[in-house]
Amino acid sequence: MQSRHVAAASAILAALVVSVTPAGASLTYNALTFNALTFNALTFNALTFNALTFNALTFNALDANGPEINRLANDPRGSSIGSSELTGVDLPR
Amino acid sequence: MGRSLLLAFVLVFCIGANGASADEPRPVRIEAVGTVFRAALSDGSVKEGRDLVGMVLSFSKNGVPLKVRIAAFYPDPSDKTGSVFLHDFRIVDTGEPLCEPAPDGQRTGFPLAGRTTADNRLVPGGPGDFELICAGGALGKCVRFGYHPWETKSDGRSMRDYYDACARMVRADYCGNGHGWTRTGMPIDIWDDLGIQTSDTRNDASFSFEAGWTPAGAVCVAHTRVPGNITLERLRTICPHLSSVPTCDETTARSAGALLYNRSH
Repeated sequence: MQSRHVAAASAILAALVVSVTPAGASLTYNALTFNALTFNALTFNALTFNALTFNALTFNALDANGPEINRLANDPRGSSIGSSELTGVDLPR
Repeated sequence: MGRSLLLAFVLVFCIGANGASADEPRPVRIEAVGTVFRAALSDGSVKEGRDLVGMVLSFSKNGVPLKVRIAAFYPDPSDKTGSVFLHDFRIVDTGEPLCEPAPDGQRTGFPLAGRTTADNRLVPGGPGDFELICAGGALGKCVRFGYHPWETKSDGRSMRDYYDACARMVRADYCGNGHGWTRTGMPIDIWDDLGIQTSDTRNDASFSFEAGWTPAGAVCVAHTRVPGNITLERLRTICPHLSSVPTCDETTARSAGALLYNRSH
């Protein structure tokens, strides 16, 4: 919903820019203005989208689950390496 | 006792075979305390935690040797209790992390005392028994969620029950037989009656109650997490006891003995 408002606002502004431009004014100027507004709207939308996506991912990531994430957890015993397989220890010097 | 003596003998033998000086203290016992390694040395001293950065653990898994070095050690930034420490375990031969990334990007792990049974329950095991747990796996997540199996509640109940129930829940191991029915990346919202985890989705209609959990699996299931993996109808034929609670919600699950609860899409 927010992105539609921004897009609509940019279109209206672009129309205003065109309507108040004196006759003979550079079409390139208007085109650039319109493009800049469009770009800004797109940028804003992209940022909004990214922010929402980031939050959603952050939230989900807290509880995201799945044994496939961890190869140790894939082991039928739940953990593939432990003291029963330990054969030696080298302490840090 | 016999097992720990054997381990001590093996450790002493290995250190000697590696050419260590006779004057240098040797490890006579390695154990996990909480999420930290502790080494008792032959001169009576003890090293633990950060002092053991650089330690190399040699394993033999099904006859395949594997050396793991502790490259770094630091407190878990997401842990509010100050009792969870992450280890950067590196495979010596390649330098690669031992662990796959957790959802927060951590490629770390920690030791945990005890051993895991074939149906995925943590049992105390013998002296010195430990397993390496990766932060990104179900077991690592449950520790980082706050279910610390080495702790005991004020009423005397071991937190290992909550840890085991959490592992069942994270894996969607409804039947409690070690078979998980989830898929990587499925979001779940978990909570308990201890206040360790609280629900985040009370007002999110896209989440609904999935199940209540004990160390033995689910006490009831309202809907399966990944119907593409198993439908509720199919699940009830595999685990008939799940039909004993006709209407599954937080209240009925609690009455049936659930320790943890979860919602999912």
